[in-house]
Amino acid sequence: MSSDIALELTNVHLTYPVRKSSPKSVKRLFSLFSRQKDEVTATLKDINLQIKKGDVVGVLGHNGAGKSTLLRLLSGIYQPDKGSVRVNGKISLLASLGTGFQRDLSGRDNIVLSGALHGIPIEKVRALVPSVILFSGLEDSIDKPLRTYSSGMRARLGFSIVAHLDPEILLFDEVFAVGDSSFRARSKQRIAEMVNGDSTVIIVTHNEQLIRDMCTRVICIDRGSVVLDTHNIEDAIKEYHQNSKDRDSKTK
Amino acid sequence: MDVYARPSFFRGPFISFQSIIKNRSLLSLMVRRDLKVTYGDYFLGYAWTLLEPIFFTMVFFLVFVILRGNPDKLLPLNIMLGILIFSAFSKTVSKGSSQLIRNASLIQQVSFPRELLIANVSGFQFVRLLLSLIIVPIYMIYMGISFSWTLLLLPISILGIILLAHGFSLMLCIIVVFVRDMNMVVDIGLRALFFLSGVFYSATYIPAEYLDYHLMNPVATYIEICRGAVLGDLSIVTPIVILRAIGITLLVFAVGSSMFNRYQNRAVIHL
Repeated sequence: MSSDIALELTNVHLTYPVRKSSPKSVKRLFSLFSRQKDEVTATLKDINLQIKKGDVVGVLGHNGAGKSTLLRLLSGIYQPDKGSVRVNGKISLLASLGTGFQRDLSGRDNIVLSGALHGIPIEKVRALVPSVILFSGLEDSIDKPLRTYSSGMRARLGFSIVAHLDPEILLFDEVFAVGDSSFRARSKQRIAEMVNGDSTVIIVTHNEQLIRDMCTRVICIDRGSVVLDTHNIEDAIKEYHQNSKDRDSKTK
Repeated sequence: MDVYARPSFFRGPFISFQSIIKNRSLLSLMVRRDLKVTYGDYFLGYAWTLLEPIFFTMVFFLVFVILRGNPDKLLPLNIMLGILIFSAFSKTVSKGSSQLIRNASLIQQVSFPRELLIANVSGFQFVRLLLSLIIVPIYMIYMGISFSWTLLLLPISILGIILLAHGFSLMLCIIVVFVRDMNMVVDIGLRALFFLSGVFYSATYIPAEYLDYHLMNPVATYIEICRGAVLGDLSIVTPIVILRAIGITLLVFAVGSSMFNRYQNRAVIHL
């Protein structure tokens, strides 16, 4: 893989089990350890992508198209059944705020735990704690157990941890500004800094304006396949609308 | 760098071991978190690690010594050691086997070495067992039992039982994802094992012709090693019996870690 390529997917295919429940027959029990065709549905089909370092790529597609699965595959949570995924650099998936939070631990302890789970060395996380607390604006309650926090406070703490991750490749899955208006403004600014920096960024969102504001390339996904890969943002948004209309007309 | 590379089945134990060494800081943080969450909020805190075995020993003492009139003065100590070793095994396997399911949402959100979730449970139970064993020297002094060189065998019993439980947990947590019924099997199996492992009776009560069969169960052997180490009597746990238990433990760990590394990525899809 060339050194200016951050991510490369070659003929990637991923299947999901049709039923996740326990097997109801002995035959199915034995088939579980090998993926048989009648047990699975294709979630990603023959995906070929190359993403250069520093690219900011938006991923558009209706619910269930395979966008989040694609990000999980890139971050190493899922493995492909066929094909290869190559990653050149430290990668972070931001799929939710408050990853690994423990309600009985203090906000301070949760910063260390969540940061460490995101792959930051523990000493580095400890050094970042004051900055995370300052960003979150939760100085008064940071030593109280997380169970005493409101959902807004938890989201603020979660976003503040995420804002201090410094990966080379950043994958956003619908995780954007949270909290009150002043915190939202700071969050948006921090996201813009992350996107405009050296990082390679992939954003999964239904927010078209965000795609227009931040992305230089858009990939449209439909039923697990890449249907359009373009630098023309407006073309991609039109394709997304067209796909949505086609789906709606089929369901009526 | 390849995000995904399917490991060879036989490299499983080495991959697990390397992963734990590489991520020991995170593992230590997770174990300390669990200790804090489990005991931090209680008035008696870590004293519960001692109170629990003392309470159950008193119950067994009441049943076997007082109600049944057993004259064996060492029975309460034997029972206590049996309970400590068995509950470390039982709690590790019972919680470890459902760790992937219990942490499904975390696993789907962040990429980190998943064996840490299992090692976290084993590490927590290891620390808990060490804390619980503080009661043993106190009890030995109270009963006038002299401290013998055989106490050096105690680490074999402690590390052996935890590694055995860890190996079973690695194996079972994968199977439980595919076949949820396995949770019930684990529960029933552990209860049966409690009665089959000599927790509330010493192996000296077992007829000689059945003793070897009894000691083929590594849990029973580790309990007897612990008792022999504390009481300075190794007549039951011969070197061959000890080596056999260690061999079974290493085999279970090797199969468990190989299975885990081979099937964990497929299991994640099923969560």
